[in-house]
Amino acid sequence: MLPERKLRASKCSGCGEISYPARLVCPKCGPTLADKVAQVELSSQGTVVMWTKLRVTPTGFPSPLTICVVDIDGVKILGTAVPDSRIQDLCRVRIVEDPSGKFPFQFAA
Amino acid sequence: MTKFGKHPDKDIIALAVEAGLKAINDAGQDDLKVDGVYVGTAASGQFCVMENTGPMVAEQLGLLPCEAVRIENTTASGSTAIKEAYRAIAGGFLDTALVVGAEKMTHLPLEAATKVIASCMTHPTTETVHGATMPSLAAMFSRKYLEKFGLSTKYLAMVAVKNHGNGLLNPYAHFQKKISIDDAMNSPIVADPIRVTDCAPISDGAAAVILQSGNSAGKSSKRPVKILGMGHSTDRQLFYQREGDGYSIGALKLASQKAFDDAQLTPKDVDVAELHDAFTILEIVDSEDVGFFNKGEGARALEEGRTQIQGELPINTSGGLKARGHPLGATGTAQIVELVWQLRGEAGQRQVHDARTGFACNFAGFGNSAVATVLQVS
Repeated sequence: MLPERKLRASKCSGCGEISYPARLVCPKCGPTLADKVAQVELSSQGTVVMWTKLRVTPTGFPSPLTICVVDIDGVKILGTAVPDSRIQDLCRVRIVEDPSGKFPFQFAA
Repeated sequence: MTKFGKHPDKDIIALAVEAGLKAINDAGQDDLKVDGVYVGTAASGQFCVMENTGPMVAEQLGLLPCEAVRIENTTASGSTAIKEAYRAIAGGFLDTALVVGAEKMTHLPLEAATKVIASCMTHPTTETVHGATMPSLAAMFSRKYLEKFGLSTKYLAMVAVKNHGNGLLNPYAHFQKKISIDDAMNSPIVADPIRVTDCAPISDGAAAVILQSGNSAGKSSKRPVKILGMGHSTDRQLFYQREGDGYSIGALKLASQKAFDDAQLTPKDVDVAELHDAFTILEIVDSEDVGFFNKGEGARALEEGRTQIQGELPINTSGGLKARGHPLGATGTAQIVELVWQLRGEAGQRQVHDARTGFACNFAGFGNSAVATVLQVS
């Protein structure tokens, strides 16, 4: 089993909004309350909300490539599925390391 | 405007000058004095190694020492340049402005062009790095919409077929080739469920307009077309993180509302529209978010022929981004050129009967910025 990854996000102590990628300013509270935003670690599991199998991939990327958007702790994060993963809407996935180092992380069903 | 397509022998400045000259001559004023030049290009620096396209175009058109600037808002550069010029004139700072939208992008090898386009469209550290492309984003959005409203991909094909049919009537269109539903449904999959025929092409080209204060426009031998309202709104770049129902482009709703409010008109008053069909799903979704049809009903309206040239609300008579082509920074300006031709009765075989009020919407990326315009002929 591939080791799990926990992604770094930011959270606003004013309204509770979590942002990925991490931000300096809460998107809901705006710049006047920026001192309420701090870094947090997300859980390593989530649920697929949408996905596609990309066939025309950019140079240097395998084809086909399964792109997914996964809900992790309420925030939607895009990534790719490990090869041969069976992905569909609502399936549970873990965020894992990519041993080849090509992808910053991947999703495994 | 120039024809959109491949122009291997013309650089971006040559394309912009060609379109600019046509607009200046079309204005019908022998003593026309341009006091400001706005050039909309998404990425002239990366595609053509020229950042300062504003002053370069002004110089080549013999307009120095007027003020000149390049306006960048990725694929909404062409309409944003118009918006900025409009505000300068409405604010009394300029009397006459030339706006040129231009892009030259077909000369780069595919790999290099793809990287430049990615820099305009997908988020570098959370999308591009994973191999995601705009078509993969459009595919996920398309599938969600089609599933929600119980529609097949045949409705996406209908957009492409209609727009190619209109492109055939437009001498400036990149594609002047009819396609059938079968052709579209059998075209290769780019990202499931969208196909090559669901994606606008890359193209070279330029389009230009002259904007003037009311006083000066009144002296023209051509019928002036008035900008009654413009709206410009933004939203999160990562579309799946936006607020809203997940089947709409929020920035477009806001921009359209503002444009209609300023114009003191409603979507029902529109006779002809140019919408941003970078992907076929977007023509359907735009038609709802602008307020022409209720959410989920845009596809049926298309199926019923209501958005054909002879229909009650013709959309993309030019062929849209799909068939007219999509030189990134030129598109927004070309939409306005088409509307002006329609509203003046100069649209030839594409002419909509009795068109008085036009609407255009143009976006950046997948809707993280949207510009809407309402026009009316005097």
